[in-house]
Amino acid sequence: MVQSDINKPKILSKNLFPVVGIGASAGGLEAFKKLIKAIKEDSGIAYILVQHLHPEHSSALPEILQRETSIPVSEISDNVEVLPDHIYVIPSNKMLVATDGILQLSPRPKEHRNMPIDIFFTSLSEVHQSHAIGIVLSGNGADGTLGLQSIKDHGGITFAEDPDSAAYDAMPLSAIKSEVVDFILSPEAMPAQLLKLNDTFKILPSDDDAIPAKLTEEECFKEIFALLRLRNSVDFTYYKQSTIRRRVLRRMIICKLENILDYLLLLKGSTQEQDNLFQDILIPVTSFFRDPNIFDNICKTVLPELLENKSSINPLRIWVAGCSTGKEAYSIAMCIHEFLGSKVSSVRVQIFATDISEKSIAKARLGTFLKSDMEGVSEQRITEFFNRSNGNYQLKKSVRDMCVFATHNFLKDPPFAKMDLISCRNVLIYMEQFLQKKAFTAFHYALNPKGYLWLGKSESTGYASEYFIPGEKRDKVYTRKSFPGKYMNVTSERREAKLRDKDEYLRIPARDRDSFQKNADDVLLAKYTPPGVVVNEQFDIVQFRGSTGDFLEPSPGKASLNVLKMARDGLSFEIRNALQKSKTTNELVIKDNIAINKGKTIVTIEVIPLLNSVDPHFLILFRNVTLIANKSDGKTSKASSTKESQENFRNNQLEKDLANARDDMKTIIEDQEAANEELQSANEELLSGSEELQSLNEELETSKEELQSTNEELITVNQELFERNDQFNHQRIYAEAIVSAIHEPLLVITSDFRIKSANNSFYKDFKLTEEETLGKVLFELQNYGWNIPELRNHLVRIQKDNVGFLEWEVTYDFHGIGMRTICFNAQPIQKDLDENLILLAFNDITSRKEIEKVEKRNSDNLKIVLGKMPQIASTASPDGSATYFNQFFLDYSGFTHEEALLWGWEKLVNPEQLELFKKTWANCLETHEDFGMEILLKRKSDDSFRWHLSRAVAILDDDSKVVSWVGAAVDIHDQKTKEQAKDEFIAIASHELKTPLTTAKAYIQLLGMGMKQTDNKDLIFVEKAGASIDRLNDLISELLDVSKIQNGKLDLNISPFDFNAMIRGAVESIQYVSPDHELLISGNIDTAIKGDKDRLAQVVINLLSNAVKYSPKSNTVFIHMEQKKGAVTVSVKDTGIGIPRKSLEKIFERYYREEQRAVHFQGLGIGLFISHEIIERHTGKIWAESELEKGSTFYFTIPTAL
Amino acid sequence: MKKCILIYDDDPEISMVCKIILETKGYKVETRLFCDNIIIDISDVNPDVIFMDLWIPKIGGENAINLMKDNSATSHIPIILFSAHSDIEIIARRANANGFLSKPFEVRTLLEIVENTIAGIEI
Repeated sequence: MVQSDINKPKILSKNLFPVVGIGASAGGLEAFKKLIKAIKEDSGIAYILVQHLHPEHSSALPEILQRETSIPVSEISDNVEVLPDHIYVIPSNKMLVATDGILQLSPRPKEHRNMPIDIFFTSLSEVHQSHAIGIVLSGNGADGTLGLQSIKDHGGITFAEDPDSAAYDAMPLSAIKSEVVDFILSPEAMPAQLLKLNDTFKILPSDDDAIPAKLTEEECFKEIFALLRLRNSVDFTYYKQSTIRRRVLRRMIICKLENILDYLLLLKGSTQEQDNLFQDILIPVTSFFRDPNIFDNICKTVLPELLENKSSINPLRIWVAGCSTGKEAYSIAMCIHEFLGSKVSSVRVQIFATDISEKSIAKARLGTFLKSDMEGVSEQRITEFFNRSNGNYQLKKSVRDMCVFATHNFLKDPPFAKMDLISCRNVLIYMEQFLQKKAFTAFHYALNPKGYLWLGKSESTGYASEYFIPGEKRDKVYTRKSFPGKYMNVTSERREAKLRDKDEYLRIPARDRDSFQKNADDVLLAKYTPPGVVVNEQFDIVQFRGSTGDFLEPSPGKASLNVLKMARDGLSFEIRNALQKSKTTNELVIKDNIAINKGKTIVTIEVIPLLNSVDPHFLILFRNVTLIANKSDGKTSKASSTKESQENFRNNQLEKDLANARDDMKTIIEDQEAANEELQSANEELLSGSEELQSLNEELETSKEELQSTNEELITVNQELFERNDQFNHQRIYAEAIVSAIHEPLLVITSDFRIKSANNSFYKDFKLTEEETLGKVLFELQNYGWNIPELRNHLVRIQKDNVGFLEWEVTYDFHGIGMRTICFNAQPIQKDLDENLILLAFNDITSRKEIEKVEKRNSDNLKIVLGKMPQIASTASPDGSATYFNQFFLDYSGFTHEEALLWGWEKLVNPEQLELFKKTWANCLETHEDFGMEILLKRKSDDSFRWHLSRAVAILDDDSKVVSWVGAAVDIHDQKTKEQAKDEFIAIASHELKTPLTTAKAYIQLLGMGMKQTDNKDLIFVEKAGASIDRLNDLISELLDVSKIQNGKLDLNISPFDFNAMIRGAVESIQYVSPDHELLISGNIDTAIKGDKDRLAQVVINLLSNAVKYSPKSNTVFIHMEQKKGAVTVSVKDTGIGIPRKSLEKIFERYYREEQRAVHFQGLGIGLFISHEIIERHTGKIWAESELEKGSTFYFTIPTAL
Repeated sequence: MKKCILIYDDDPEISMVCKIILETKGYKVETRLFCDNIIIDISDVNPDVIFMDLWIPKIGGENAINLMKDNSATSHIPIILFSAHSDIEIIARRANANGFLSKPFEVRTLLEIVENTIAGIEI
């Protein structure tokens, strides 16, 4: 349940001041500075900084930080003595770890993952426990998250930097997402919160003096326990008080309450908080294969012994008590699996895993774990026992089925029985001696005679050595001691009643008293208090009060403290009666005038139930009433001796009878007691049996549900089959309909060429009727008018080879319809072995043939035209293969016409462009769109590549079908090279322009810094000069962008980013230069957007600065964003001068400046062009709406996923 | 002891202004107009941080960085690429530089980069 070292007292630091560990990576220096600046000199807190540093570079971090504060900053040297009001920095090539309770430097291991913050925080939490505070600042990666988790587990407090303020937000985000962070703040705000926490720490009791300071606080804790008992049926009264108190105070700090009374009020009103506290107290710490050495030992020694006599009938039974999320149980299951190997199916293994937290049990039942849970599981075990799905790890069924999970409180619920091994690790450390003993009794009962108990590293059976003996040389494994006659207490639920009364009762003894008063009380108690005993539920005496010799004596035989056995003659019966009565009614019972010692003494007994104990106890008080009559009897007896002796004789007779009767009764009572004991143990066995059945029942319920879902699946499959059947029928009807309605004639003929069926088109086209056709031989139709020798040959070949033919043309003079060219398609249909059918389809292509002839003539004419052209030209068939090249092409390429037809354009195109060329061309062939591309073609005469503008268009016929393609290419090489030279010039020029600008800007800033110090009034001029330099720089960058766009070299850097933050950043930068304008943001984008963050920010800044620039008279600009149908739309609205309708479409063109604007406002007119290009490259759209003198709205939209 | 910064730039004006800024903050500054002798320069000056211009005679900043990063005696010294080239970030990553600074720069940015680099913080 908790990390193993927590209970070792030697490892705890005695520091009573908080120690704050601060970890950061990239961007950490700024955050450190801000945080350190805000720390007060006398905070009483020690600070230790861990920064990801380059292991080889030396670090000057302490010197840099010392400039920010007067608190001493020093690098940690070998002897680490942490003092309050000091700041320490960890050196770059070292790391800080906890060894034997103090922090020590150790060399940073090279092969280890570089997680210095995790390592340090974990050490810090182990040494300083609840006084440890962890802070994660800016940085990349996830370092620190595991460390914060450890600090939280040990009762410390955790902070993370607000991701909005962090330069790099990955590290704080990782911690926040893992839900291990108590406070999310900016670095400046952290010291104030730390001070507040330090005040709260002062009321924390340290481990040494756990005695509560105030009476009211004590009462509050009692109330808190009562609330938890009501809500969760778990009594924490006898859990280790220091742990519980730390947990409660932790919750208080998190709820930002300083007074425990306030927390109690909150707790009373909120069941949510009650559950939170409950979960917090349970400390669900667990991991796979915890303490691997001990695990190995158990596997090697204990398991083989236990498995010796096991079979499928005699199962191995293991109980994991306090299993949390089940990792312990699953680890044991995996070990057993590994141990048994292939024999696993021959032995039945039942692992009962229980915990009091329903939440944990639900998690355990799932058997699904996150990547972070898998620490400690070797890669081999992961592949053997887990399935990976969605980044999670799901246990395989063979392991999962070994374990049964149930919510169960082993202190209260009846225990399981006949266990071979009980694992209860790091659970007992939270309990006080009393509860530990109770737990051991339960485990003792549950174990088989030779069973083992496995405890945590720091636990032992010290308090219950009569039940268990330590195993030989085995770590923390104990064997059960056997002895007869002990049976388990099965406690009842009724103590939950009367909580209120109990609380009233509890407050009384807490009062203070003066010492003399106490002495007097003691004397009175000794002198006048009646003697008595306190007994437990089994009537065993647990305490003697005063002298009870007159009423009790040790009974002969086996030593026993049972009050009924010890009571003197005649008293036992009455005490039993009184106790039973008191036990059932829970009230005081008084019995008067009981004669004991053969009637010499008369006794009054009082039995008082003690309500303020966990188990019921009873106080029995004895009061002596001496018989005066007896004494006087002796003196007066002589006078009337005869009469008296007769009476005496009778008396004696009666007493003898009575004694006999009592003896009889005693025997009966003893018999009954023995029967009672048997009944009780039988009852317990039943209860534990029922408990097991209950768990099995739950498992069965799950199996039933699984079966149900399988059943549902089967029903679905069945339904699908039905649907398929329907579809099949439907398709048959469909096929038949097609055959009958199709335009082309169709025939099905049998193997002896008789016609089996024909469609309507056949009858119509060949002017035949059904009677003349069906059942006749194909060649005999229309008076042997169909006797076409080639057709017969073809059909015979089909029968022989069983392969059909396609597009076979024949021209024949058909009877009745004249000379026709028919295109035949034939396909054999093999139905079964006996019957081979042939499907014969006819297509009358007579008219098409004629058209083709005409077209050929046309295309010959076209070729003549192309041949005379002084440009490269070619034609291609509709499928893209080249059909003709003109002379110019052949001259340019040096190919012969045959070579050109063979290679096409591909041998001519520059290999670097070939891929794109083919892709574009294929796309055009499919869509019939015009082809257009600038390509480099190789000239034969000087072997050089020259730029050509190439185009190709499809020639369509009347039905919009492509007849052919005609393509041409124009040499644009000279034009193109000039343009390139210009763009290169712009790139170099802008670089050269920026160089003097750099110097100017730096000097201006130096000047400004100097003036700021002397408060010079001319500072404003310097600032204006600085702004102008920035503007000049922006203009140069814009020019460069344009040249890049023209070269197609504007590369986007696409990655997901926070759209809202990008908009905010852009607005802030405009606000900075135009403080007089009000920029209003509305709308919100929930998901991360993919795109080039910096380029999109450039677009927004451009639109905003235009809006500000062109609305000089009004001062509000609205920016709105929304997400709809997979796209993000941003609008920027101003109420300025507006744009005339005729210009609206042109404003996105390069160098276009709207006339009116050009007159009044400065600028190059390329900002919108660049924005347009950036948005286009994001496959988005940009447009504007405007009304003159009313204002303009610019919109752009980009898809959410690129 | 004062931390030493070595600046390579063929524009003496830029080297000068950087020198002024850094010297007011207590650094020692050395400047060079050519980058060809970078290994010898380093052994002369023993710098804590180097600033390297991208377009600098004769062999160019990228080659100079490669020279010093390939030499085990000098490879540990952090080197910052600085230039007005708009793709400087990509080039710096390609050239194995420890960081970059684009021209024109804010005085504050220059100082932050120097401070971070001397503190040994990986960016």
